[in-house]
Amino acid sequence: MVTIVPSLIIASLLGGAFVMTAVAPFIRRITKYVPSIVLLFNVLISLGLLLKSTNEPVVEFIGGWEPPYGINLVAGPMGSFLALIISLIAFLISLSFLKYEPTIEEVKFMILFMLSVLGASGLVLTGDIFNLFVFLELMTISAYALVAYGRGGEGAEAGFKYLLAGSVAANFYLISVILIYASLGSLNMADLVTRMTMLKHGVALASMLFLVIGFATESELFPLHGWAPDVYTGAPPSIAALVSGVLVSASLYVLARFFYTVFAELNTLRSEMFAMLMLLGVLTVLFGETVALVQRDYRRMLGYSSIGAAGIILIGLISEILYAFIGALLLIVAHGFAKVPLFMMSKHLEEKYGTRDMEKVKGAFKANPKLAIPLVAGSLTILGMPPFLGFWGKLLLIYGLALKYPIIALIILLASIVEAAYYLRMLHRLVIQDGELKKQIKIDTVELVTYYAFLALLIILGILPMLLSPYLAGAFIELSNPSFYIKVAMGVMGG
Amino acid sequence: MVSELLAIESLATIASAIVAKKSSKVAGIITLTSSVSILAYLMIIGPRVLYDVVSLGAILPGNIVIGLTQVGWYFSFIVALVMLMASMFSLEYVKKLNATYWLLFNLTFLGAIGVTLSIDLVSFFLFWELMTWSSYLMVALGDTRAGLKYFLFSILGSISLLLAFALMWRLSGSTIIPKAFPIVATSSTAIRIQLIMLLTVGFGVKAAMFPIHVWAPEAYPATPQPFAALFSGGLAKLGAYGLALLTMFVSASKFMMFEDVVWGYVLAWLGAVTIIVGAVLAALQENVLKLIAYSSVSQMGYVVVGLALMTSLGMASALYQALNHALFGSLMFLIAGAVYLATGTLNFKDLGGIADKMPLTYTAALIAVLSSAGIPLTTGFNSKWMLFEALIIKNYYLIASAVFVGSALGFLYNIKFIYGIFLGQRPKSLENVNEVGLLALIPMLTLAFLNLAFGILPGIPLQYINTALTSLGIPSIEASLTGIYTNIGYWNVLYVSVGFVLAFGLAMVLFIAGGKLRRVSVLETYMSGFIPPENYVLRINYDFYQPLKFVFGRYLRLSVDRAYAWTASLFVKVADIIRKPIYLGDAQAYVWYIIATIILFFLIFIVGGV
Repeated sequence: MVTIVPSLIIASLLGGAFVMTAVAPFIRRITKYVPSIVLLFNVLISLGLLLKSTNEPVVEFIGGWEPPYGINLVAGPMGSFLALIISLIAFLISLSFLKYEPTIEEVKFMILFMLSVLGASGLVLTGDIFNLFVFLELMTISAYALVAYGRGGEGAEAGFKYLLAGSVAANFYLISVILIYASLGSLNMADLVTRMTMLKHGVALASMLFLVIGFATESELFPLHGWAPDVYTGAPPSIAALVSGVLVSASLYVLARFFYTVFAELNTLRSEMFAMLMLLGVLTVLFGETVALVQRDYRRMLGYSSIGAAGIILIGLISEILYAFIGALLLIVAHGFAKVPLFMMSKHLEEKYGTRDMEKVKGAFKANPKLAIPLVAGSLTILGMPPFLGFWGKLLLIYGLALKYPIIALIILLASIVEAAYYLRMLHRLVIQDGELKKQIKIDTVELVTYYAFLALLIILGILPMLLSPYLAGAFIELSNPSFYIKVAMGVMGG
Repeated sequence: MVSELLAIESLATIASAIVAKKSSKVAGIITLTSSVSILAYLMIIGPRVLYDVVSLGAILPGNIVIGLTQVGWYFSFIVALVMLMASMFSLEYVKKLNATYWLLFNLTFLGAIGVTLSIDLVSFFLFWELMTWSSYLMVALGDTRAGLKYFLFSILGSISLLLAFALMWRLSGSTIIPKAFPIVATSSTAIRIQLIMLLTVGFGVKAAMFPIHVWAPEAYPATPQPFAALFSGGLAKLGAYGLALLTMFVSASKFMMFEDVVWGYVLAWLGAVTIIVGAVLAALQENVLKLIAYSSVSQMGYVVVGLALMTSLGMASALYQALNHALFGSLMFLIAGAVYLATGTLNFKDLGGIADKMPLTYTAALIAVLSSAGIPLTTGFNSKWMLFEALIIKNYYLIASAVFVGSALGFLYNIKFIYGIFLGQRPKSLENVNEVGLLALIPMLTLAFLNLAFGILPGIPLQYINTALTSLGIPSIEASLTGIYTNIGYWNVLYVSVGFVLAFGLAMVLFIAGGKLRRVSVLETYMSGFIPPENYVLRINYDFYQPLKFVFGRYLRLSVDRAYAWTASLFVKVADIIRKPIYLGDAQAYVWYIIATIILFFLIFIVGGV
C-alpha cells in the first residue's frame, strides 16, 4: 500500500510547475492539462490525509531530520482540512484553464498559479515557523505577478500595491521569526510551545505584534487592507477569487495557529493578542460591509464583502468557542466556494459589455439563466440562506458567540443586514430588473462546469453538513489542545 | 413519519420545477397533488405529538426534530388548507404565470409547512429562511423595490430570531422548542427583556405588525394573486405562530413577571395601532390588491392583540382569528385574482357593477367581506367577539375602544371592496365579462363555505384550539358546537341562526305578499326613479373616501415608511463619508497605515502597561 504523505502535495505542484516550464517551448498544448491533473491529485491526497487525520494523523519529517532540528509537515485535522479546501478551490478554478490554447504568457500564468497554491498549501501544513515564511513568500510573490496579469494598467497598479503592502507584511513576520529564533534557538512550532515561557515578555510582545500585523495585512484586516480593493478589481477574476478564498483563509489560519498553539502557554500575551484580533476583526466587519454598500462597481463590492467576511471568520476562529470555531471553518468553505462563481461573473460582464458598473449593465443576466443561477445561489450562500452551506456557518457562529460575546454577535448580525442590502441590490440590477441588455452571453462549457460544481458542493454540504463534522471538531481539538498537537507534530501519535 | 411529508413536498418542488418549462399545467397538477396529500394526511392524523429525530453528528449540539405538536398541527393545517386552495386556483390562473412560479410557490410552501412541522429551533430557523428567500424572489420578480424592502425587513427579523434562538439554546441547553421557549419565562430580567424584544421583532416582521409592517402593503400586491393568498393567508400566520408560542409558553409558566405584563400591554397597543393604521390606509387605496394588503395588515393586528392579553380567551381568539384571516384574507386575494382574470384590471376606477356577470364570485366576495367585517353568522364575528370579551375581562378598556374604532374603520374598506368591484354602475368596457372557470370557483366557494360553516359551528375550530392550549398547560375555554361561553357572557349561534331564519322568513312573507314587482335598472335606483340621460356617470368608485382623505391627509404624511427611507439614505451617506478619507488609492498611504497600526498597538500595550 502506498503511504500518503503531505509532501506529495508540495512536490506534485512543484513538479508540475517544473514540467510545464520545461515542456512549454515544445509541446505547449498539453501544458493546460497539467494544473488540473496535479490539483486533482492533490485533492485526493489531502482527502486521504483528512480521513486519516482524526485517528492517526500523518506527520512527515523532511529529509528524515527529526524536529526540533528538521522541518516537519503536519497533517492534523486543521491543516489537512484547509489543504483539501485549498486544493479543491484551486482545482475547480484550474478547470477554466482548459479552454485556453495557451500562449507562452498563459503558460507562465498557470505556473505562477500553481506556485501560489503551493505556497498556500504549504502554509497550512508546515510545522516550522521559518518554513512558513518561505511558503508565505512563495504564495504572495506569485500572487503579485498573477494580479498584475489583470487587464490594462489596473492590474499592474494593483499588483504593485499588493507587492508593497505584502512585502512589508512579510518582513514584519520575518522580524518576528528572528526575535523568536534569536532568543530561543528553535523554529519548530511544537517545540516552541513549551520554550515560549522562557521568553521575556517584551520580546514576546514584540514578536506577537509583528506577527499579527504581518498576517493581518495578508488577511486584509482593517486598517491594513488598503491593497485588497484594488487587487479585487484589478486582478483577473480567477485570481481575485483565489486571493479571497485561498490566500486570505490561509493567512487567517496562521493567526489562529500562533494564537492557539505557539503562544499557548503565555496567558497575558494571549489575552493581548485576543483583544487585538477581536478589535481588528470587528472593525473589519464594520468597515468592509459599510463601504461595500456604496460601491457601484460589481467587483469592488465583492471585494469589500470579502474583507467583511475575513473579519467575521477571524472572530469565529479565535473565539475559543467550539461552535463559533466550527462556524468560522464552514464560512471559510462557503465563502471560498461561493466567491469563485461570483468573481467569475464579472469576467462575463467585462468581456461582453466592457464595464463592471452595475448601473450600466442592468438586467445583464436576465437573458442568461445559466449564469444567473450560480450568481443568485452564490449570493444566497454569502447571506447565509439555507439550503446552502453558508447557513450552517452563520448559524453556528452566532450560536457560539451569543452567550459570551452578545455585542459582537449583534454587530455581525447587523452587518448581515447591510450585506443583504447590497447583495440584493446587485441581484436586482443584474438579474431581476428589465434592462435593455438582452444579449446572450457566450459561455464555455468548462466554465459552467466550474460554477455548477461549486454550486453542487455548496448544496450537498448544506444539506449534509454532518459529513464534515468529525473533522471540524477534530480541528478544534487540535488547536485548543496544544499537547495533542505536540504529540502529533513530534510523531508520537500516528505515523 | 412526519418528515415524509416534507420529502413529498421536496419531490413535488423538484418535479414541478423540471416540468414547468414544458408544461405549466402539469407542474400545477403535481403541486396540487402534493398539497392535497399533505392536507389529507394532517386531517387524518389529527392534532397529536409525533416526531422523527435526525442527527447531524458533532456539528450541532442537538438533533433535528421534525414532527407534529398540537399547536404546530393547527398552524400546519391553516397553511396546508390555504396552499391547497391557492394551488388549485393557480391552475386556472396558469396562463398568467411563468415557469419559475411553480418552483418558488412550492419552495415557499415547503418552507412554511416546514416551520410548522419543526420541533427544534434549528430546523425552524432553516425553514423560516427558506420560506423568506423563496417568497422574496417571488416578490422581487414582480416589483424589485418591494422585494428589497421585504427582504431587508425579513433579514432584520431573521437576525433577531437567530440571536434569540442562539441565546435560548445556550441557556436551556436544548434545541427542542418545548424546552427552549420556557427559558424566556425563567431567565433573569436582562436576558428575558432581550429575548422578548428579539422574538417580538423576529416574529412581528412576518406577522406584519406595526411599525415593522411597511413591507407588506407593497410585497403582497407584487406577487400573482394565488401566491399572495398563500403569502398573506399562510406565511403571515407563521409570524403569529411564533408569537403564539412565545406568549403561550410565557403565560403557561408560573413566573409571570412585571416586565411580561408591560410587554403584553405594549404588544397589545402595537396590535391595536396595527388594526387602525391598516384599516385607514386600506380604505384609502385605489387598487384592489393594495386594499387587501392593508386589510391583511389590519386583520393580523387582532391576532397580536389577542396573544398579547396572555389569557386563555385572548389567545384562543387570536388562534381563531388566525384561522379566520386565512379563510377570508386568502379568499379576498383569490377573488381579486378572479376579477383580474375576468376583467384584466384591478384598479377601482375601471371596475364596478359586475355582480350579475360573475354571480358566484360575487357570492364568495360577499361572504368574505361579511366575515372580514365581523358580521354575525360568519366566522369573522366569533373571533372578534371573543377578543372583545377577553379585553373587557382583562380590563383593558382603552385598548378595547381602540380595537373597536379599528374594527369600525374595517367596514370602510370592506364596503369599498364589495361596492367598488361588484356593485354600482358598470363601465362600458366590462360588458363582456364572464364568470371565471371551475378551478377558480371551487377554491373560492370552498373558502366561502368554510367562512359560513365555522361561523355557525365555532365549536369545530375551538375544539382544536382548546387542544392546542391545553397541550401547553393553559386552561381551555368553554365552548359547545354552536356556542362560546365566557365569564361575562355567552354567544350561541344556534339562537341567532333561528332568529335570523325567522326574520328572513318574515321578510320573505312581506316580500311575496307586498305590492307589484317591477325590474329597475341600476341607474334608476340611484336617481330615485328619475331616469338620467345616457352616459351619465354615477360611479364613485374612484376616490371613494375623499372626505376621509381630507381629514386624515396631514397625518398620512407622518409615515413610518418615510422614516425608514430617511434612515437608509443617512446610512449610505455615512458610509460614503467613511470611505473617502480612508481609501486614498495610494500605495504609500496603505503602507503607512500598517506602520501606524503597529505603532499604535505598541503604544497601547506598552504605555497602557498591560
